[in-house]
Amino acid sequence: MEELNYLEKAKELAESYRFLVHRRDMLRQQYEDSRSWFYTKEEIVYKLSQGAHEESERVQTSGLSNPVERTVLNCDKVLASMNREVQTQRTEQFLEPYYEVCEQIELFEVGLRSLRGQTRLVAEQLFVDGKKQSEITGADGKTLSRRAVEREKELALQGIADRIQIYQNRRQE
Amino acid sequence: MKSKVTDEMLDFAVVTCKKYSQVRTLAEEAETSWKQNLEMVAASKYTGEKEMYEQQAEEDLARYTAARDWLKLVDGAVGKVKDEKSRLVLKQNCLAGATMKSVLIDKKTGTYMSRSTATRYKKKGITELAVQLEKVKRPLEEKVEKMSRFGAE
Repeated sequence: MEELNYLEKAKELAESYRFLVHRRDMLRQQYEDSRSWFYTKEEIVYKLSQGAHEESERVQTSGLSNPVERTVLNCDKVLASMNREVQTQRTEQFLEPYYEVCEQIELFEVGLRSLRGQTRLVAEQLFVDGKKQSEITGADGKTLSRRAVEREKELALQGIADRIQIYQNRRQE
Repeated sequence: MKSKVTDEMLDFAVVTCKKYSQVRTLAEEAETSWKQNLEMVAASKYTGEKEMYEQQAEEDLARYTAARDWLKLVDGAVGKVKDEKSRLVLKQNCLAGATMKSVLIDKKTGTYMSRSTATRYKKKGITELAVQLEKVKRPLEEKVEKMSRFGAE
């Protein structure tokens, strides 16, 4: 099995974290909005009755009430079947990608939370707040030198990578 | 008494004394790490994250407890050395790492033991300690095994 390069993974997650959070929120919203895709009983009854009406006009001799009765009896079954299909669509389009994004976010946040002191402070400003290197401040509020920021960034990425490795190995056990 | 002390017992006593400061450091590190992991348990947001830190805290605690028990056993063995001056040399030189010239006899007067006296008492002390350690050899080994099982080298 190919060994995962955890440092690369940490870099990738750090760079995309803000985008991932945005995507997660968007997918959650889309999933919520897609509730409107579900059919209501009224809609199904109407749809089926349209069909039944046409059918009853076509085959008048075979008994007028049959298609309508069938419509009413089948309504619940048809509703459940069509909504199952809708739910499958919602899951594929929104829920599955949502869970994938959540997993990536979780991985990064676990790594980020394991950092301490100035390293964490710098990492939060860089990766969570999206600040530029020149805007990063220390605990005292003073701007840090470029060199200090780069050093802390490297430490942070290594720390996140180490923690991700432990975390993933634990989950695979 | 002297005839009972073998070279093997003396070696074990010397090794134990050398190991003492390492185990003390290990106990301190394990305690710090244990507390940090407990903090992380409280700060965790995800179930898996919490479980990970809980497990680490548990391992640290086991390591800390084993190290602390090991130290207690050695301290107890040193405490049973009958000769007071030998005990002083063992505690200050062999366990705490003070030089032979800085073994303090009396804190109030600030009297130190001479190097040759300290050497004499050290020899005597190690022999007595070897006898005492022999009685707790098995539990000491068990603690070492426990420490290494939970991540100590």
